[in-house]
Amino acid sequence: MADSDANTIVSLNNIGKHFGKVKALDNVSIDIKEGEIFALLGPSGCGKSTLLRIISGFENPTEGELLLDGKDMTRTAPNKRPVNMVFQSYAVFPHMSVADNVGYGLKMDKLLVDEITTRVDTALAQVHLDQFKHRMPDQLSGGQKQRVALARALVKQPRVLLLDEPLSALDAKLRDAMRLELVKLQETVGVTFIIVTHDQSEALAMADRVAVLEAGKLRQVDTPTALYNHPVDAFVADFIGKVHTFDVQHIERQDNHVRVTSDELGELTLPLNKLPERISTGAQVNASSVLAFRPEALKVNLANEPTASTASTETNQANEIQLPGFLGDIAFQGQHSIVEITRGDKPSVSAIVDHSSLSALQTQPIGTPIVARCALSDLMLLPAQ
Amino acid sequence: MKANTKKPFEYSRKWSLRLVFLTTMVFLYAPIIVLVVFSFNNSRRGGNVIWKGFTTKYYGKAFANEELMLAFANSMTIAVTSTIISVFLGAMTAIFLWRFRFPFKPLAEGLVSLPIIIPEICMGVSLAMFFSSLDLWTSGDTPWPFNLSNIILAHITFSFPFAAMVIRTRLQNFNREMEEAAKDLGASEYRVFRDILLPHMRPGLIAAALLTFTLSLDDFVITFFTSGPNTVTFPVKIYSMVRFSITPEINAASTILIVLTLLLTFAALRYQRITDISNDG
Repeated sequence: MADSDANTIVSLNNIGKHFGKVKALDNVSIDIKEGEIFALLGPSGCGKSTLLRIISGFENPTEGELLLDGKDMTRTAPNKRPVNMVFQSYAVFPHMSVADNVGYGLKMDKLLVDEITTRVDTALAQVHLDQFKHRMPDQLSGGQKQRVALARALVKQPRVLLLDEPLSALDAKLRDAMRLELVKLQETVGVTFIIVTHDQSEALAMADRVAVLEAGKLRQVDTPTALYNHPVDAFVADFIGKVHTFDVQHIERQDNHVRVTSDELGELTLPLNKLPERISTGAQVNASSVLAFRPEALKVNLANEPTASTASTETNQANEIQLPGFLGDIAFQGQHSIVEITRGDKPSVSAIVDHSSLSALQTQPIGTPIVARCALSDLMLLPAQ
Repeated sequence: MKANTKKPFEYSRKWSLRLVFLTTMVFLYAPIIVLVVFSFNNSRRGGNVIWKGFTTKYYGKAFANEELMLAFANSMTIAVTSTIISVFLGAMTAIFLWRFRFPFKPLAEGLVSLPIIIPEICMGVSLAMFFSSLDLWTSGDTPWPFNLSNIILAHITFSFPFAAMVIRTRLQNFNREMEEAAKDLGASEYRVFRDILLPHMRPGLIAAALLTFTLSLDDFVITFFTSGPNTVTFPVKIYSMVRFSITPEINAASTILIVLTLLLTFAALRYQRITDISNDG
């Protein structure tokens, strides 16, 4: 999480990639810094794997340039780049022993046998496979094969290690352990990691910074906390965690605040800093914006007055919005519970509630009138796209 | 896998099905068994189906028959040479068809495998006409083994499509990430081929070699059309001996050919099974 430009190690400048008429990547620019874990995150088909293949050299971009360590490597062959990759299928060579697999890259560099042996041993120790040196790949488990692939890439001492969906083929328990281990390994070796993943929790847990891609376009590059708390648009907000959105009909910028009109939430006055740059302002209706909040921003109380029949009249008090509704299912999650709030024919919302607020709700039957409240400061005003 | 799956139907319980199975087996193998048994018959005439006692003298006679042994040497030379060239060509074709995209690829694939389905007699006639029209026939005084080149060329023509098919099947389950991983680790195209692709292809190459060797060894029709008086192969020689008279010597010679073919086929199947198992794991 360094801040100066001096230690940018991978620089993607206006990268575009077209497969025939399909634009897999469109004008993507990212600077990745030395020593960080950087995640490329997005739904399948967003272009994140193509981007990784451009960095590794297996694809050439149609437009733009790629700088590795300040040198233009846009069209350099994969075997001439100071980067190594851990493949999704691990691609461990089946006819070579673990040691031969790990030593293969060094053999290609024409190193002396003694040096290869020493470095292979070190690399295998790093991934805790020293005992498996002479095994053949078909005698290894999936997790062990992945360690071989890791050691094989790291032994080359690359400037950047690329990992393509490193945890997707592991079972849930092993995945959590490996997630931690990868982060620890990165701290030990200090190599820049670029991880491709479609799993947002994986990206948030491991990465120092995350790039969110969608349909070939870069949506946002930021730290996991910034992505979660300050998403640039509704797509990022929805992809990073759960979010409830409400269409906005009108936005008007005033002296030191913004007036937002929403059919459902009524007229709200928000501080000016809630207005993202990308939303055009003025007296014009801007239908492509939404108001959004996360489930944990909601506070749930029993409705004081029995005004359930007038559920559609959401009042707008000074510093919070109120959503009247009815108690739905409660899903117990351990430390907290997810409470569903049904709202007649409107889409229901969910709230994350801790134990203290839960006890009051648990005793009530389903359908009890309740009110969910969200502070205005927890509201996000976001471009819909 | 096979051992664990339950039989879909209990065929063996129905006596009618058992009868059909038995008849099929008798129909298929009785002639071959009779041929092998009567190669040990102590009778002057092979056509005489009366058992006159056990002997191995006709094997000795067959091995002492110079013309038959020359035909055998011819057959082996042709089989070895055409196998090596067929497997090489087949491997090249398979890699080409597997690796590259080009216009009319389905057509090219069809054309490569066409010799497999063309009737042998047509192949034989067309090859004979081809060699004649281009004046490619080896003359009678060409030294051995170059006088066999017509037959070798003919055998390559009909057997390399089989080799290509077997190797292509093997290539189909190659994980392209292996190749990329090797390149990523610094391997050149040549090293990728030598270190990664070739070891993967090896079982396919061996299976293809065994298959084309067997095909070449026992081919009669195409060989008959492309052989001259001095270039007789083992099957063609047996045929001419049969026309002269059927003796137990022919039975013995045929038995040798059967045993050779069986051994090679078993080896091919065994090798294929070993590699299949190692692929599953």
